[in-house]
Amino acid sequence: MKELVITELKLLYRRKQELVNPLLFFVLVCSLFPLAVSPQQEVLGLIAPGILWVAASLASMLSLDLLFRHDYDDGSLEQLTFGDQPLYLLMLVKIVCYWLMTGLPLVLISPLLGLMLFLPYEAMPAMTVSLLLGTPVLAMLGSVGAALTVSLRKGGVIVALLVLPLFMPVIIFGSSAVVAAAQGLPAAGQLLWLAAFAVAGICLAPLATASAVRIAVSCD
Amino acid sequence: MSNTLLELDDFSLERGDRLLFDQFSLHLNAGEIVRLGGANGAGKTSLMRSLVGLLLPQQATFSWLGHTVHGAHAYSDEVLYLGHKPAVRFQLTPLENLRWYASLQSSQTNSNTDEDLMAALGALGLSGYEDEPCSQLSAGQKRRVGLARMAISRARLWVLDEPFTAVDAQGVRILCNWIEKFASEGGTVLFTTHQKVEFAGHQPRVVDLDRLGSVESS
Repeated sequence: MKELVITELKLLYRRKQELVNPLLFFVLVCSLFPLAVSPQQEVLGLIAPGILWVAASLASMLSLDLLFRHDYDDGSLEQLTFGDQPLYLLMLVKIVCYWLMTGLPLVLISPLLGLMLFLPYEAMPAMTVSLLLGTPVLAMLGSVGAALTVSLRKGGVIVALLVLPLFMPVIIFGSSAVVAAAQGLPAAGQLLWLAAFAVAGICLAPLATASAVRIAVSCD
Repeated sequence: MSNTLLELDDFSLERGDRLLFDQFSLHLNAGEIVRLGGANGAGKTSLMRSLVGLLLPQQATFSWLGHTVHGAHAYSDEVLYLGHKPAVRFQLTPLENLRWYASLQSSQTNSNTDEDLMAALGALGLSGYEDEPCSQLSAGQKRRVGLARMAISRARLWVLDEPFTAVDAQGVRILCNWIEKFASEGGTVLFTTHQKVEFAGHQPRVVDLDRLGSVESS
């Protein structure tokens, strides 16, 4: 099991260009808003929670192809269905490693972008924690969509159509936690909801992903 | 003594709108080398993928070691499948690729040490390349990295789809030796190839898909 995690992280690390894409996208989208809307503190500070959450969701969706595409193309995905490791566990390993390499960097850079967008200081912890709890859910939900569409040559748009509606509850609770904290209200309720989503996602999403992978390898 | 490993009966498979197999049967015994013959498009790959659970047939009964199982997934941990896709990651070195495969194989019996893996790669002429990224290797060498799995596998059934593609004559001899050694230890091999291959001792049984249903021994 340890070897599988190491291999997965190594593989992602050696595909650096693809890892940098979502992070750059996140930074660029956030930096467009001061230019396009207004650089004023009152305006930006008001919409910053929404900007950060929407940009983070889109960035997580952009990198979903990284999860299964290469493995599908070179045949490693079908090898995963052999051997005596349960596919559920293999998928969990893949998704967690994927989140560590693509989701976590988004969380780490978000305070900096928050500063740039005049997000009130008191909302900073809530924003970081909401992304820390929310991006794993996005990765879990996204993995199901990625696995379902991996056998299609042009799966890009379909992934968005499949996955974005599922992202909605996460975005609603995530950004409302930040908005509440910015207004000085407690955000614990929304954050607990996100935590509940995360637990449910970790338990259930790999099951769905595993079935989707079985379908994908048999469509060949 | 017929010591049946896998029995496939009532096998019907459609691909697109063509009926490739209708009520087909294939029985594989322990210690047997079987070569699937047939023209391109005869359904060799489809049959192999169905046997290992990568393709769901319209209808089939599987029986593994005499027990009826309700799908090929029941025994997929006893199968080594090498398909058209090499399952070799270009970003990893040959050694890392094999390590990954070994860790998929054995959660309890983690007996493949790095020395075993190095020996497997060495036997296929890849010593000296263990720590080179696979993207730097030639097509035949990449293929060999995938084939090195045969040396570390603990499976009872090898399903090899065109294993000799892009492999030179000397490589083919090594692979044939491995196949024979595996069969003499009680393993079962099902393979396809369009090359002429010779085994020293065994004469592989040929199942010709061009004449469907007629399973003949040679």
